[in-house]
Amino acid sequence: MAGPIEQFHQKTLIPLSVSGIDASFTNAAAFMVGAVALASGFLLYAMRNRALVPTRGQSIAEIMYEFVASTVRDNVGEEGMKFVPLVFSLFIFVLVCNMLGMVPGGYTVTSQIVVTAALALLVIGIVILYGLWNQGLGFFKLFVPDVPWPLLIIMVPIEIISFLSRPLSLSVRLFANMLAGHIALKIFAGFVASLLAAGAWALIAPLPLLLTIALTALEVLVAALQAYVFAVLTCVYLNDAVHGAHH
Amino acid sequence: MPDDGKPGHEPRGELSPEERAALERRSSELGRKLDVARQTGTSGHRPGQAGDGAGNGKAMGRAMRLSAELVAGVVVGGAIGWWLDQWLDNKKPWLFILFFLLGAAAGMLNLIRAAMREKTPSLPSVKDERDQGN
Repeated sequence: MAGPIEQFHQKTLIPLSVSGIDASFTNAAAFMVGAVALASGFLLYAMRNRALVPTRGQSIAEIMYEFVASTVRDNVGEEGMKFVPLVFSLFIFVLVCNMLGMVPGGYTVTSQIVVTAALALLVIGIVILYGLWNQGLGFFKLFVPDVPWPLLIIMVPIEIISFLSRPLSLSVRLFANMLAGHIALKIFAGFVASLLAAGAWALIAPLPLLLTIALTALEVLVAALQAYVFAVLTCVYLNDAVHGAHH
Repeated sequence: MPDDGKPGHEPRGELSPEERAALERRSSELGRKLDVARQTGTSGHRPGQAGDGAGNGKAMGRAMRLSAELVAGVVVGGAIGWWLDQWLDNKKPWLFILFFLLGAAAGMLNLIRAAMREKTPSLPSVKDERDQGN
């Protein structure tokens, strides 16, 4: 029986090497391309008529847009609405990747820290660049909290570390949730097979099966929730870039 | 049988004064219970009943989300200190220790901010600042 972490192994589908660097097309890459194709394909198909009275598909697309737009408006404000395409893309990409991971036999791209770290670094890079462009050096007031000045000696390094830890917590949160969830699913599902093969113990085999069913439901919830959390935190960090210091 | 010879029975559909008083007492009691339930935010379901599993899942998710904040602060602080020690060729890892502690403080700061953010989803303080900024 496959081990619990075998599901995360990358398999090379098309070997490819760019000047000595392994750039093979793997199953992870295939699922990322699949997620992008699925999301954009669905949205383009759903919006093909641009009807005033939306069809079912168009309603779903509009609800998703409204959801992301209101999240951005609540967390960043009207000035932040230019980031809706970014947050929408991130949200849909993470959501579709997470959901593709829930399909039996699927591959969870977001359980690879390199993927989540790339997304988090993109977010934090945009926050820094836009913050500097928008507020100039005033952006660094972010690191100067509103405290009596002797405390600044200790508070400024803490604030800087706190800022630097954002991409890490953003990527680790998504990666750890997906990894832990899928390992737990695999282990409890493995118990069913082990118990069935263990003679009289087969009688209690339905127990881990029930737990696996419950965990699957929980994982679908986590998959959606983590995509939402990623989008909300992106908005919270963008808020610093748009409006400047102080939380 | 509606008219079974009770002494002083009312016409059908009418309530005697005692019955009316009892009904009012019960409805005000129910209203009070509802207020209590609304204030404590349990919205009816008692612990140990169905729905508790969902609550556990929610708490688990919250723990996973918040623990990442704390861990990230400590790891980044420690990494900066370790890197500085390597760079300065320190014999003793005093910068690592210093930045590890600062990182722990930053992690707590992250944690508190994240917890506050979850309590008030739309961050009223941020909105106030935005209004002042414009």
